[in-house]
Amino acid sequence: MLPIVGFLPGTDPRVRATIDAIDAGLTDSRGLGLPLSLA
Amino acid sequence: MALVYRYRLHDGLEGEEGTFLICTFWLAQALAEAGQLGSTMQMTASTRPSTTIYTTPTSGTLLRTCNVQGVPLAINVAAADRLISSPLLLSGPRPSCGQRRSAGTHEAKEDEKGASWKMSYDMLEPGQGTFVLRRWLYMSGADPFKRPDRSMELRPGPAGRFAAFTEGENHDDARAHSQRWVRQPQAEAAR
Repeated sequence: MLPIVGFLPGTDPRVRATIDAIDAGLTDSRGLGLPLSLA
Repeated sequence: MALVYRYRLHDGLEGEEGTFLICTFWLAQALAEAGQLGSTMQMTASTRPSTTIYTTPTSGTLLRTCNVQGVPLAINVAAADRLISSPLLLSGPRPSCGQRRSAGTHEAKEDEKGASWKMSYDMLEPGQGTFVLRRWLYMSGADPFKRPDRSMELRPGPAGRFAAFTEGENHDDARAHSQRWVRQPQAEAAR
């Protein structure tokens, strides 16, 4: 939300660090499978 | 990157917490704002007919939206940004750096019949201090569900990143937060 609503630019180190923390701790490591034809 | 959870710890509710699509879009859009989205984005149709997967080959970003049919398609960053923004219906003119608003409303929809979010926000000390979300609503189709009125503050935290606080508690300590949040209504119902 921070960069989306213009609170800070997405390139701000604090925003990038927050994005990295979300990416590292709140994402599903299983991901989504690609279609068999593309896997 | 794959799909994004709202939180990872047990919240006291039955069943397994799933990834949250709209959060995934927010993260993807934040990545785009940070210039970390790949220069090309490939949209491919998944094996599930109502699901489309978006992948960025350079960053490995995976995005998914529902109710979109598609065939493999390559699009550039500008188109990718529109694609990401289209499910996230920002209310009012999109703010840009240097033209920040002190308050506003953000609305996000997956589709006309799907889940939608609407929230207002205050920017305290824009660019420096605390960002506050208020009246966090979650609505899903014809069965709107309103979470308890509350606000969440994002404050500069450790490791140079923002930390989320709700009612003064660090939301990163999700166990204590969610236990109280979930169990309080249950305790009231038992009276």
